[in-house]
Amino acid sequence: MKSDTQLLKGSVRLLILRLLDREPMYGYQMIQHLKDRSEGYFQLGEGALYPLLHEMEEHRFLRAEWRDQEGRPQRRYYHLTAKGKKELARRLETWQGFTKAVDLVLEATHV
Amino acid sequence: MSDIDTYLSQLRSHLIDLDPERADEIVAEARTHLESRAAQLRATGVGENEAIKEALAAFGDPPQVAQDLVQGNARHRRPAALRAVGAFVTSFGSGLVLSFLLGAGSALSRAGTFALPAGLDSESTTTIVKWVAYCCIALLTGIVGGRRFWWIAGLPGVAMIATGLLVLSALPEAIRAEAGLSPLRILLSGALFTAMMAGVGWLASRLPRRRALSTAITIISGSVVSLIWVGLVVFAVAASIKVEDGARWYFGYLLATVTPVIVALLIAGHRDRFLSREVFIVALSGLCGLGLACAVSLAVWGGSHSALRHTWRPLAMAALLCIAGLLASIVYTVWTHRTATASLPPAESQ
Repeated sequence: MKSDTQLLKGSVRLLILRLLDREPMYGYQMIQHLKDRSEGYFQLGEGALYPLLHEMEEHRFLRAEWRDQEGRPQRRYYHLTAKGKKELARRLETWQGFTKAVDLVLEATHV
Repeated sequence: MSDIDTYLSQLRSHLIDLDPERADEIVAEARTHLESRAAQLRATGVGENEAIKEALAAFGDPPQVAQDLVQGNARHRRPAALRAVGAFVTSFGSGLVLSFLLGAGSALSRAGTFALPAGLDSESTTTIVKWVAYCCIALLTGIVGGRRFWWIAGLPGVAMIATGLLVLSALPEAIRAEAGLSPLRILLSGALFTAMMAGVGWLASRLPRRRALSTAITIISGSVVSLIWVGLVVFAVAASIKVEDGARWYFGYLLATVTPVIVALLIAGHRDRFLSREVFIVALSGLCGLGLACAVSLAVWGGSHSALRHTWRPLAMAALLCIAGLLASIVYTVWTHRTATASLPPAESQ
């Protein structure tokens, strides 16, 4: 099943923040994680990820650093900042409120 | 050069509105991503070339990706209006200081004797040298002060205004009055030209992505704009004064406008490594239009007036300058393309 583009656009920041809440990651790694964990449902446009990451970096939700890799060139890892954690909490709350409301309406309609 | 290098070179050329350091960092990150993706595809049995093509396709069209990246890096973006104002203020300030300094001494007038074979007297030569120097300073400060906006609008505009002031300062008072010339009028005409060239830049950015078509349309529109400006503003005024003065005007016009544009293109090519294709084409089309306008005007005026017995010289000069501009553009394109590729981060081996 393919993801709805508009739905993905609206939730991708939350997904990124959530991924980075667990561990620092680089861009390509995030795309792989999103794809794997959603069993292929979330297939983010690869070139579209970096503008989002940079935008969140500018808002200081994320912090980036180049890390040396053993025997390989550096990669740019993104970390969640304290401000990013607050943003994640806010977005989670909004998302949960939204999905709860949608579920309520769907259940009521179903009955 | 690999397909990834070509792709990143295109991407980098569209990030010109960002700070160079930030743009380089973005390109390095994109390279890491693309090579990781290609390596992963190769590991699944996809061929070398196919893996790279697939990785590039998944990343997206360079102009579109770059546009999103520029928007996502707002703090690293150079404010166009501020750059433009800064460039104009510094260039005009420098020009005023320079003209004052040159007016205070006569040493530099000797340096202008190169123009004497063209039939100019020493007074005109001094004036031309003064304003050519003004243009060079203005161009250099503009190159330092701004980039994209400067190239689309600021550079030709300042060159035009400087040329107009050159003519104004060289003309006798009676002719100035007869032609209705004033510094304000020249400033306004320069602003008009600036706005028109900015319009060409706007058009260029919205053309279809078919390279040959968009290049042809931009060159034609840029040349037409230059021709219209030169025809309406410069030659309309020149027609009301004596032809001999028109010839001087023309000669100074070439020196003050066309030559610095060529020089500045090369300087900027060195400093900025490369410009976006649209900006470069706009600058080039302006150059072609100016050369063409000068050649046409001399062909019309020079043939019917005995005072212009050396018509062939400025005509040949105009043609040579146009050819030099085109050659410079080819050299510049090849050179900056190589420099841009060389400046990209080293390839990652997975």
